[in-house]
Amino acid sequence: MKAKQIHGAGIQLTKINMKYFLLAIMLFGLTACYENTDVTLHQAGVYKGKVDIHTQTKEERQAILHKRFSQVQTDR
Amino acid sequence: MARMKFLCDEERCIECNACVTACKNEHEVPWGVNRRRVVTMDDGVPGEKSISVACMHCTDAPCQAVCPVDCFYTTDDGVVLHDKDMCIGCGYCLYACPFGAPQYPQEGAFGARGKMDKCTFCAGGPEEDHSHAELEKYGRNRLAEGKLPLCAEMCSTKSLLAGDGDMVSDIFRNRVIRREGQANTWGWNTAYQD
Repeated sequence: MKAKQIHGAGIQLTKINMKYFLLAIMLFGLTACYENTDVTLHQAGVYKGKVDIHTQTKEERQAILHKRFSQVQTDR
Repeated sequence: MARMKFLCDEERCIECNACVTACKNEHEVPWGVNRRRVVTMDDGVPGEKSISVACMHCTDAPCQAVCPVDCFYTTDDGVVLHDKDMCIGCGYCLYACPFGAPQYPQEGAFGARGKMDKCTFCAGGPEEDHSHAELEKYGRNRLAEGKLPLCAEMCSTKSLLAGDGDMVSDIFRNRVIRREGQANTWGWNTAYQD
């Protein structure tokens, strides 16, 4: 009789422990549920390749290309 | 600052594909890669329109923004170029580009995606001007030779224009005025034809 009572009390204790254990797991799980409100901005980075060195200056090149444009791209 | 721009007049394009051929021939573009192509809308239907499309050298280039290795740069002329030695062929630029300009050659025995290739506005790349390396990787540098992109220079109907954006838009504006109205790609007459 006493042994049965002790065994029943043991089961009850395990059930209570399981409840606390599951509660603890649920609370732990909820800690992962949050929303990151930071905005991710996609901006162009800094060019990391080789430097493009031109044989002519920008002004020289543009003057030549303007002349070429008026020669070959004129409207018909 | 002058910015180099392409403009294709859809009222003049006759879908001859000469720009595509000229580009491939001039730069010896590998098989399967098309830096330029002609797109036809309503093909076979009366009133069909064609435009020649390549890299539009965007002022705020999305390919440049998404590149994980930052291999894109914009020249003083406003031409968007990239360094092939840095490119990892990830394909992000293709997803970002609204014109589908980035192209990838197949490399190796299994046809793996190679380094990105695109229209350079005939401005070569970051290698030394007129060098063999530049010719091999990016094609001819016509801008350094004082010439404009070949696709536009040889366009028989002058549909494709390439050059300083202000000069290109002046020509197009005059054409629109001569046509006594707006270009027929937008507006009420296009939206509600029937």
